[in-house]
Amino acid sequence: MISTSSPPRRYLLVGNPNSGKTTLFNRLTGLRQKTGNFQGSTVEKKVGIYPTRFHDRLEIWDLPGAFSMEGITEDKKITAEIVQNADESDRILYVMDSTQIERSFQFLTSILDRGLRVLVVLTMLDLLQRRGLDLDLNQLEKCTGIQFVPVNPKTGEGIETLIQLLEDEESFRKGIPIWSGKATDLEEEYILKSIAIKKILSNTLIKNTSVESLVDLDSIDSLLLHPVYGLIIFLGIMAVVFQFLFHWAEFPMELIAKGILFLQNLLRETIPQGPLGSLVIDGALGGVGAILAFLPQICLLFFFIGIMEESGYIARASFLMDKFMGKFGMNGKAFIPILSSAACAVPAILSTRTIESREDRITTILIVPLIMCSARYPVYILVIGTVFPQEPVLGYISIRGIVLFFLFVLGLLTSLTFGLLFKKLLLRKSPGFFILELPTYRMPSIVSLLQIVWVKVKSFLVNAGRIILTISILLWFISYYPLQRTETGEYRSTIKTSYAAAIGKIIEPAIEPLGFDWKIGVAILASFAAREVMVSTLAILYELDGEDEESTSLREAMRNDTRPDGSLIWTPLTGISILIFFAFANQCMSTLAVTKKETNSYVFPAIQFLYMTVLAYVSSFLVYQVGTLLEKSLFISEKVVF
Amino acid sequence: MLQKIDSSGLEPSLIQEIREQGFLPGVELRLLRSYPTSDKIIVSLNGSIVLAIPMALAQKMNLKKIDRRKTTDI
Repeated sequence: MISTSSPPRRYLLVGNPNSGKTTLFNRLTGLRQKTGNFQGSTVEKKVGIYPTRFHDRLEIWDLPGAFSMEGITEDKKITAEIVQNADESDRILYVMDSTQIERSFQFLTSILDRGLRVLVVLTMLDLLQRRGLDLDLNQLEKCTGIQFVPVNPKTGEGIETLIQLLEDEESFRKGIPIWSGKATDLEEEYILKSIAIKKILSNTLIKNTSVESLVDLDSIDSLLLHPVYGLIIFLGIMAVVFQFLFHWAEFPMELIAKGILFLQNLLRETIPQGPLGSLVIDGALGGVGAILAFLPQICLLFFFIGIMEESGYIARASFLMDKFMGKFGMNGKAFIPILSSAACAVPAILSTRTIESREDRITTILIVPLIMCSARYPVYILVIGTVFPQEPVLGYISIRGIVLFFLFVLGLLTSLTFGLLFKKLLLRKSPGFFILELPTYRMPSIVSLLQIVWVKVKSFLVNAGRIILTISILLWFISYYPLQRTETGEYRSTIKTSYAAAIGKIIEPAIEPLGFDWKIGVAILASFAAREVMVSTLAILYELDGEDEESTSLREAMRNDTRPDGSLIWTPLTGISILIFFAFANQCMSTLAVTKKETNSYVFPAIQFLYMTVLAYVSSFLVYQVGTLLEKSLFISEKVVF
Repeated sequence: MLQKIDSSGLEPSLIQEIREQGFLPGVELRLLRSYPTSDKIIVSLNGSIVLAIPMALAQKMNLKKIDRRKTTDI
């Protein structure tokens, strides 16, 4: 038994990629780390505390999946280094996918060669049994000298037995030599090990029925992997997702917005008028509430991405895009980070650790922030909902959904084009060969999908919420002060004479050619900390601007806003110009910080920031100027009524 | 059955990846599908792992000569 006075003991979760380590880690520690049905879903070391009866600090380390002690990619290097430096006090919890036992045994033998104490957790045994096979666990133990315990981390089956074994020192054993002989090089060592593993498996793998092959391609793959139909299906799926984002989320979104408006009106009646009331109602609640209204869309987006990751489809999409990406100098491996960045660029940049070539990895890091991320959604949805009509076309198809899909495709194509440019100009090297494992399809469980959504939404609210609240308060201050003396001798706040307006007027000449007024300028300036801040800033500015009028929704306030000459500010053309600006601009401090960390250089975040900002300005300028010329020549009225 | 991998011209990291994924002499390979227009084939290793590999790499692994328009056998 473990003594209570001993120092924290490390239990290292080690195994091949996609074997169920993170699901087991979540089950043991109660944490909710990201899982997925593809190689490379874990690229960082995660540490959790497991409470035991005998030891108050037992650490479980979830390590990125690896195949050997020689890490060839950044994620695998982490695992290789930790396992190589593990000592007598560490315990290896080796997670082995039963359906890929032969390959999994290679890494296990290397760990046993080092004399480490190991307990093997066999996952996906049910899948193996469904294929008409089984494992003789007693025989396995006899051949290797270590213990094997079947666990289903998803359902929790076998977890109690594992917990009992975790608390028993005798469960972790050093094992007996599995292979022998002298290898002159690594390849020979692999072959010798492979022969020994085959011998063990011939005694332990039980064939219940006549099985020729354990796996085959699912019939659905003939469609999903087809070079033409597969691509159409992939783009179709994305288009449908964006339609759903508008159709399904509009009602709860309006409900939240109305709820916040109701709360603001209620507080206006209870809190006396003045700076404090305005700070709480217009600053804090107005700013943070404006973002909360977009939660339904963000939840749905995370839910759809979760389905793709959990089912195994993301690897198929990566396969499909390989040839297409080859035209842009990259291979399909870069597509998983690109698609993942539809949720957030930060984990997407981390996931580039699975790319072997440094040139390919840096290129992917530089272009990933161009993909539409969840931080852009509130801005896109606010602007699209303000300037484009709600009425569907052809009965069901939402114009707003089409615009959103177009922005996704625009981000994708622009990122690939810049990928090609970077490869040609800075990081010349042809893309390497692309080997990809196609995992067996798994039905995503609704519980794990909801957990994924919850974890991501919580992280979005906590991380973005902090920035939004801080900037909202700062922005309220510069929008509320200085107070102006009225004719009656009272001191009142007027937005037009505020510090924010003064700042806005200074930058207005630079942004006027893009179709933006000073309010949009201030919002863009604030959103360089985080894109979502654009929405909260506009909410505060419009709230303070319309303080004397009856409270209206932000979209209505924006639609009614006019320039000094009486023309509407928020025309479809201004809207498109803003959308283009946000599609390209690098307005995320976290992305720049993670780029610096992953490239270990200030040069690449500087390049990333500069090229994206210049691209955003120039594109927005061209769109607005060309659009204005066309409008004038076609005599299109700016007044749009919805 | 995989006989030998011609590692000339392959980067060491790729050779290691090939090995780690399970492409070792003596391994049973089965062609599941070929996509000549995408220059790829899908194979199963020892009947348990499904991998997509470029045709050029398959040729390097001596998986017989692969016709770019029609791949029938490994």
